This record gives sequence, C-alpha cells and structure tokens, in this order.
Amino acid sequence: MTIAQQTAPADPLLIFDDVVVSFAAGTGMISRLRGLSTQFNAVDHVTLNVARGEILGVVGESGSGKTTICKAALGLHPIARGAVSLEGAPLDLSSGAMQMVFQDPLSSLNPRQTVAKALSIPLRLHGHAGKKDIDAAIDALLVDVGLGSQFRNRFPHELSGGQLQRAAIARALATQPRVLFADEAVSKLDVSVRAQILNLLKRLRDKHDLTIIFVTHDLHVARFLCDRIAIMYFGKLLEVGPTRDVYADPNHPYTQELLGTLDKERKTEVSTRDIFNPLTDDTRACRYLGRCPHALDICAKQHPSQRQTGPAHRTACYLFPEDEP
Amino acid sequence: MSEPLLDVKNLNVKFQLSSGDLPVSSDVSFTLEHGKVLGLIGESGSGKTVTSKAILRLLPSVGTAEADHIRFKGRDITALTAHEFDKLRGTDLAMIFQDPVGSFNPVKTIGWHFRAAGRVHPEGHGDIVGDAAEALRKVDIADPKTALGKYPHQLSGGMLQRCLIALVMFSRPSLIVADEPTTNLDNLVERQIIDLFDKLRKDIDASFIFITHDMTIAEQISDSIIVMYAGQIVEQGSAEALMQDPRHPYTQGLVKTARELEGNVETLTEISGEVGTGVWPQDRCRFAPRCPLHEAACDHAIALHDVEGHGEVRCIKAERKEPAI
Repeated sequence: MTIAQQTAPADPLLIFDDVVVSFAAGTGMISRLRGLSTQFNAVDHVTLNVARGEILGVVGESGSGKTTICKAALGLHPIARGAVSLEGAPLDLSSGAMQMVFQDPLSSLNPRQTVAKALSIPLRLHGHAGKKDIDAAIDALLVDVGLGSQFRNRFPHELSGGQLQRAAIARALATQPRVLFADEAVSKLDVSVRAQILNLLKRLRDKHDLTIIFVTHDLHVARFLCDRIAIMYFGKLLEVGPTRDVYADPNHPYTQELLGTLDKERKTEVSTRDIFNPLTDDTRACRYLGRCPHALDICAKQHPSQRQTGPAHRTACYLFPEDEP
Repeated sequence: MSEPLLDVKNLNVKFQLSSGDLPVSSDVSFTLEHGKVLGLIGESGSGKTVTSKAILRLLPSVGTAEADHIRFKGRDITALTAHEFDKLRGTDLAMIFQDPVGSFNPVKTIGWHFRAAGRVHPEGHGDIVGDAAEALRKVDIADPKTALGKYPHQLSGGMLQRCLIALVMFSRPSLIVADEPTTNLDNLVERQIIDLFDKLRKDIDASFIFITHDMTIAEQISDSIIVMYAGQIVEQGSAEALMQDPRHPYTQGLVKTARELEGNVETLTEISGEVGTGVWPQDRCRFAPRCPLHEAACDHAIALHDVEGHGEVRCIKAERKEPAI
C-alpha cells in the first residue's frame, strides 16, 4: 500500500490527537460588563495522522482553523486540549524538526540580513554546520532550492517574489526538518512562478523524504500537489482521504459543494444561506447544519463523529453509518 | 455595430520618481462593446491595474497618463475637466476593488452609502431605501433591511463584497471595472460572485473590465481577453481563440499551466525565470529573456500585430503552428 492509500498510516510521523485550540472573543470592556465574553474553538477536537514523506493538503475557507492547527503544532498557539506528537514523542519545539514557510516571504525574512546570514544562523544554532563547512552548507541549501551561490550576498529587497520564497524555503530546510508546514506558500506568487515553486516542493519531498503539510484554499493546487486532503470547516475536520478519492467522490455535503465550484460546465448553485457563526450559534451542532441540504434532526444536537467512508477515507457526517466498534 | 462603449487608443502611464520617469504601461489600445466582458490578465506589476486606474483617473499623484484618446460612449473623456469627470465616475463609470473593507466608510452604515450614492445620481432615486433593498436582494442578501443598518465590520468579507457590488449596481453604471474582486474570497464565495456578475450583466446591461491573474476565471467570465506582460499588451483576442490556441509564448505558458492544474499531471510546465522589476527595455521583446524561441530578431522593438483569426499578438513568431511552451 502506498502512503496515499492509508488513512491511519501504519507508521505515522506526526499525530494530532484530539487537538483543541481556543481563542477568547468579546474581551473588550463592554462585552465583559454585559457578560458576553466567551471562548470559541478555532480548532475543535481534531484527530489526524500524517505519514512520513507524504504531502497532506489542509483545505478550508478563511476561519476554518487550517492555519491555526499548523501554528499550534509549531508552538505558536497554545494547545488547550489534546496533544501533538512527532514520532511518538511529545514535541520538542527547539529541535527544528518542524518548520514553517509563510504566505508572504518578504515579511518573513529580515530585510537587513543577506541570504547567507539568514541561512547561517539556523545552520549554526542547530549544529548542522561548523565554521569550516558553513559556506559549503549554505551553497548546498541554495542549490537545493534552485537559487545557486550567486544569491549568497543578496538582501531580500534585491530578490523577486519567487526567489524570496525559495530563500524562505532554504532557511526552513536549514534545520533539517522532518515536517515542513507551508501556509498558502504559493498564493501570493505570480502565476508563472507558482508552477516553479510547486514543482520545487514535490522535488524536495522526494529528495529529503520530507513530510509537507500544505495549507491552501486553491483546490487546483491542492489536487496537483497533495497525496491526501483534509477538509476543515470552522475548526472541525469534516473529511480526510486520498486526494484522488476525495476529488472523485466527495462524501461530505460541504466537500461536495466546495469541489462543485471546480465544475465549469455544471454551474453548481452555491448556497447563500447563513454560514455558521461560532459566537452565536450552538457549537454542539454540526457546523455545516445551516447550509446543508440533507440536514437531519440529529445534526442540530451533536456534531457527528468521524466515520469510515472508504478504504482510506473518513467523513464526519450522519449520512454515513458509524464505525463498528 | 455602432460605436463601442469604450475605445482606448495608445494609453501610456508613467510614474515620476526621484530617480526619473518610470514607464509602467505603454501603448495600450483596446475597445469594449456594450454589454461585454473584457478580461485583463497579468502578473503583479504588469500594468493591468494601472491601465484601468488611468482610465478612471485614479492614479496616485506620481502617475501621469497620456493617450491619443479614451472615448467613452463616443465622447473623449481625456478632455473633461476634473469636475466633469467627477460626475461621471461613480455614476456611469464604476470600480470594484479587491478589498471591499477599504471601499466603505467604517463609521457609516451600509444604508448611508446607498443614500450617498442615490444623492449624486443624475437621474435620482425616488425611493432610495426600496431601491437599495432591491439591489441587495439581487446579490442574494436575504434580509436587506437588516443589512442596510449594519456597519461594514459587522459583515463578512463575502457579504461586504456583495454589498459593494449591489452599491455599484444601484448606480446603474454602463462600465464597471472590477479589480481582482474575488482574490481575497473563499472558493464558494468566489463562485457566487462570478455567477452574480454573469447575472447582473444581463440584468442591467453593463460592460465589465474584469482584472484577474487567474486564467480559469478569465475564461469563464470574459468575451475577450487581454494579456499584459511587463507593461505591454502581448496578446488580445476573443476569449475562445486565446484560450484554445494562444500564440504568444507567455500566454501559451499560462494557459498550459492552468490546463495542467485542472487535469492530472506529475510535474507542471514552468516558464523559466521571472518578470523582474525596474525599467524594462524599450527596444526589444520584454519576454525574450524567458522565451524558448528567443533569437537575434527579438532584440528589436516588437509591434502588436494582427494574426488571422487570433486577434493581436506581440511576437514575431505568432504565425507558427507548434506552441513554444
């Protein structure tokens, strides 16, 4: 079985176990006086296993929690409940085993550091290069991302968008990470450069057996790049499965609606009914209830658990029978 | 066919910087018929936004525009005084920006914006509230009365973009320039907005200039397409001819990548290099450094010329049969 055919990989590298990330809302004085302060879960009880060397696409709208779950894994947001573990051990955030590449490379690089400087700091801090071999290590990283050593002494403002994103990827690779989180890493790039970076990510995965968690809202890009797709909606993981299966046979009504937008001929009618409001709506109910054409009575009472809906395909929806114990 | 709605001839835009004049778009000529949609495609910095802002006289203070003529409904609008132009813009000529939040006054309600638009409209609005509610209903806002009382921050991005579109439609303009109106929105909302444009263009018989960097969207919505590269038009023609049989190597690369992302490939076709920034050469093909067909003859200024059945192409090899990329 290839990686893409497994849902719960036999040897998962990264495990999200019932992860909850909470944000406070209504923390202003008036809200507090009126007793409107409340918490909502930006990531709500998400369990997900990621296999070694796979590219997992996390797809969802803004506010779905797709960025938050990555930041939580990297220690950038506190985890309220549950845990994230790497190779069976709790996370050691200082190990550099997980790295992130952001949407806007210009703001993620220090404008006063040359590319070589930006790469040398993590290389030295993590002991991957000493004084003698640091130059060779920097050149190797630059070649790896398709830049070449002529870019060593350039400052960020001297690089174009695609070159900047390559430099940001090189810096992320400097700590020799197992897992690379890429948050909308191509969405700000020009169209003719996007293909270059997407091909680069695939190459790097193959070369370094890198695991990539690719956050995107671009359904075409997700299909091209990812082995598996996880669909998120208002903090809930609604569906996860091999990319081919999810695109060919989307199970969750939300996934069906979302992927329907790819259909140029059919002109799917998109529902304009009110979307879930995490502050006013009942958070016990299914998040998709208000827009779902198949809503049942039980959907308003409790958010559905994950069910097996294909050989490697799991969906959180009452339209499918619960797993047998 | 009678006179086109918009006829732009040799529009040149320059930015006056301390380091000298920087030409940002050169020799842009096109026409737009009544009730048609023109897709304007290009990367950031290609001059697509600047071109449309020059037509609407919305350039920043460092920008100057010169043109042989810009005829709108047969009248040369370059000759209008600032006062005369103000009466045209916002009523008969309108623009929808990428970020709807910046288009609304944050301390005023949605209804206030409709009242303000109603006041300046030359024909006037008898029943502003009724007409505003009707406009909001047309963009699928279920409860227009409530929406009119809301402040911009109380609405989601998609709702606000629909309110902005309703506000523009409310003024019944003949020409609407929409600058990446769906780029910041989620897939489902993007689909709604695209469907909405399609519907409204029939309803109010408006013409659109639709600026985007997304080939797939441009193909769906446009009657004709202009592709810009480094401040010049490199290809223009009917949407069908341009997408089915693109003749400029740059357009070929864009169309090929878009098709590959829609289909199923292992590796995407790349256009090597990047457009770069700064002053583009005036006396040779600006795409030459990235072009696989580049030869000595390309190191001269290349004119946009008619290609039988394909509109206009800025390439000396536009007549060849095999695609370059």
